[in-house]
Amino acid sequence: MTVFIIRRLMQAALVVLVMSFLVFSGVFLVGDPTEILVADDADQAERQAIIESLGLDKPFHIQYLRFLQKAAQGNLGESFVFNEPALQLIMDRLPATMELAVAALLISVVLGIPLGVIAGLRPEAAYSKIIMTGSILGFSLPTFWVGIMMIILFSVQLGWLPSTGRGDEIHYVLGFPTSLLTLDGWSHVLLPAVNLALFKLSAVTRLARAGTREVVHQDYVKFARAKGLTDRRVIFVHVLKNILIPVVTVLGLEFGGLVAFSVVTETIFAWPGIGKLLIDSIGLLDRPVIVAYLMIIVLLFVFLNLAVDICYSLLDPRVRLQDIKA
Amino acid sequence: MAKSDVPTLEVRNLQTHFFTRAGEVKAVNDVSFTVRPGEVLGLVGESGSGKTVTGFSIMGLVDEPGRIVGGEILYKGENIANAPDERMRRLRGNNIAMIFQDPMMTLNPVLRVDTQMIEAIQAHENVSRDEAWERSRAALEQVGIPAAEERLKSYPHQFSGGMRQRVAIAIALLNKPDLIVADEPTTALDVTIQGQILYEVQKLCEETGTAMIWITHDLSVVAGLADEICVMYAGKVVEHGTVDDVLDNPTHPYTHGLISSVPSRNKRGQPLSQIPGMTPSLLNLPKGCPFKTRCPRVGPDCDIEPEITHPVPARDVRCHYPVAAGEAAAVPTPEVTA
Amino acid sequence: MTAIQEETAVEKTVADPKDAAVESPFKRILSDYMESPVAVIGAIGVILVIFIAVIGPFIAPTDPYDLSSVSFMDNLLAPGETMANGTVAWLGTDGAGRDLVSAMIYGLRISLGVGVGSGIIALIIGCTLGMIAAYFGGRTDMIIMRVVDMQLSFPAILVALILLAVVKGGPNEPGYFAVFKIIAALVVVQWAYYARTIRGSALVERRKEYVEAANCLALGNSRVVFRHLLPNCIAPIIVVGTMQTAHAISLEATLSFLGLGLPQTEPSLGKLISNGFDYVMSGKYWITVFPGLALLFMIVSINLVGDRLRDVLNPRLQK
Repeated sequence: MTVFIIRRLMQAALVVLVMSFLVFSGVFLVGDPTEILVADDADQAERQAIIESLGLDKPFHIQYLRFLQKAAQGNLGESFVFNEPALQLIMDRLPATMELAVAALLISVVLGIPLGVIAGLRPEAAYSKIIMTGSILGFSLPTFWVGIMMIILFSVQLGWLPSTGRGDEIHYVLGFPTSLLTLDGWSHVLLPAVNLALFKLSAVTRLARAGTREVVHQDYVKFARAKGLTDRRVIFVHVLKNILIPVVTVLGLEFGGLVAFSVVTETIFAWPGIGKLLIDSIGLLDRPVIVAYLMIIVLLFVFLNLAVDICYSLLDPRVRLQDIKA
Repeated sequence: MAKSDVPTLEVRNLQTHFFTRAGEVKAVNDVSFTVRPGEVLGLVGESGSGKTVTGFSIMGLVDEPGRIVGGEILYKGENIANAPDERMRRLRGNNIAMIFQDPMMTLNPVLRVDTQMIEAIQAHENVSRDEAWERSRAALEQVGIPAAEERLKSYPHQFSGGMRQRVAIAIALLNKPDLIVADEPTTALDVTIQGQILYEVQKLCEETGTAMIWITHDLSVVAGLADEICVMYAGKVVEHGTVDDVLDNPTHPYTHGLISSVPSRNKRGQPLSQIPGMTPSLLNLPKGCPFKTRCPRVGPDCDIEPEITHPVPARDVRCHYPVAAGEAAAVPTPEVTA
Repeated sequence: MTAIQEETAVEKTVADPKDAAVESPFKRILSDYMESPVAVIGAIGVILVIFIAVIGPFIAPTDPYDLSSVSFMDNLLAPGETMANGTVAWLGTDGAGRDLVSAMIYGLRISLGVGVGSGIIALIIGCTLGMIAAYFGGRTDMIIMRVVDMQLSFPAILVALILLAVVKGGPNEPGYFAVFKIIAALVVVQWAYYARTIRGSALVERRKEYVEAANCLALGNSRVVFRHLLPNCIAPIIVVGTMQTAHAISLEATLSFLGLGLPQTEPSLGKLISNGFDYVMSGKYWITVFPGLALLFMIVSINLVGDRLRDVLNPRLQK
């Protein structure tokens, strides 16, 4: 297991390095940052000074190495707009996004797995077909439009729930700010979380259904029934444990997707997270923030992949054995 | 073991049909037999003859769109065909156990062997985990698995095929059932392992007095193991009698064909005989005898469904033209088919 | 709903092989497909959308991009009100005074065009690379599939967002360039799906004996690929293609909503919704709701078709 983790960590470091190169060359080579940095009325000398201070006159590989060196020290540059370290900006807003993504993940798992299992156990029943048609609707509905519809219905027409922001009552738990401790916080997080969850909810439902349909026809399920086990035990132990393997794998990766897709939800609901920061930064061409966002996202994905692999090996004993051998 | 008066299992005119989009598939169509305590019944037939569905019908494990549409399954006199779910659950694994064909698939890959054994005990008896564990260990030793204590903590993929089938047999034996339905449990195994398992199953049945239905397509397995034999074809029992009688003196042309297509030493050098054609689709069976399209003895009466007759004592046969003792079966009568 | 749509294990074992041979595969697929009423509705929806897109300019009440016919006086009319030139705006008008019905028909054309166009380009690129990976194997395969894996491990929206952000043009950027950019971004996020799909099915086919036979006959590489491998990979490609097109349309709408997609001069449905978002709080719901419903109708129809095709064409559920 330790060997496995070390090997995976090395792979992860390699991925981060490759991605840093891509992000750096993408963002810094295409387009000219001086255009935004330098005021239009600046003269040639001022322009030159700024270029030199940023090291933009150096060859590409030197610039890249300097970027890496700084990045290793946790310095991903300063925001042009906020005049603050880009990393700090991201870190300030990350908890809000995480809160949203976790809430959305919970909604999709808590509803999606039971719905999928129900639909998978009796695929011909009318309710299963309703679930499946609903899931097609769920991944067809563009997230942003559903968000707007939710605002029209619940905020504008009914006036039940707020449509913007996180609320004021933010408390700290273990050093992390969260709005999930108060009713007001929940009322703010509910609409965005449901909005963000909708797509993943359909994905989880379909995955759980496909898994269930495959597993219930396996001999070991029939054998479990032949042992005289109750239906409840067959479903909750024999079926569920097997379908959890693909569900956990996908979920881990989907969590990254949730964080990425929060760009849309945060824009609609004015949620003060990193997604909204990214869109604002793109609009303002605030490149260091874009780079910092990407690097954080890459790290998050790499970490998630690792976590998924570890969960996977805990759930599926066959994987564990292979790793011990390897 | 003395044979008691009440048979362990009596199947009467069982009919299990599948209602598919393409039509009604009569997988089991009028099957009857009796198994007494300590007896082994061999259920023989080609794939698609309905033998496995018969086994699942007894277990109450026929899946949608299949249903038992007729007949009775009497377990110690109680009709369990279409019995309530909870009644069937209590019988399954406790009074009637089943062993499946493919040992690689019957154990749940993500659960430890002890979990899968203990749950089988606790589903029927209110015993502590420790006691159930101890009984599981004893059962593994009974089927000849060394270092049972250690093996209990293993996952199925750490066992070989033969070992897994032993585990499956141990699970079937856990609650000391009266009847075991074994669905080709040795087909997927090597011949040497097959021999060991057959020997051990036979021994265990003798020791415990468990009755057994052994489903197979392999006549040689039945020859060494069973007391009685039912030959199935297209959902029907076409010949039924004691093993020695039927194998020495088959009267149904299909049984005859099956036996002569087994390779043996004294037929060396001669071409093996075979049954021409293939099993008919159960969706649209020919009118009359389902075997008539492949039968060498087909005659004018074969368009009428044959009833059970007794051409020799203690034998049930569904055929208008049974083979008499000593007669060669393959009397070609081609002009009759026209 | 019909009671039995799935083939069962029993059917598999007893169905006469002759029965299957009589029907042509196309007829069988069609009759299987028709068994799901929901899927038939989806197919009708797709045909309707294509029909509207093709004849759009002839049925639209006004030309929303003919500046001379658009009057600012008409802005934000509610559904059913009459515009200055006497035409009734059945679904209202938007903030610039354009008739929403007409704007939606034109928007539908753009959305569908961008989705299908990017899908076809991605399909060609993805299939070529996937085929190359499957056919040559070894190092070529490894390099292509590494890129595919890496690409697929990041959500499509993020990749597209960054690409568009990096090559963000100024306000004077010509409209066609913006269209070209978004198609390029959609191609980049889609090709990997096609490459992975076709490589997977091509590898399965490659191991079959007929390919070996073709190789033994010394048929050229391209002949083996085009005449033997490709036709056998069509079913999964159709399924992925349908789903990807729906996804591309949705993604384009999302990017346009975020302000990174198509410009005001080429408003897709997503852009119309985005424009309407500004008026949501003041209760002028129609500018957002109706284009959204059109978008939804289009995507759901395509997905219903794709979902059914996957079931019908899946060889695992078939034989």
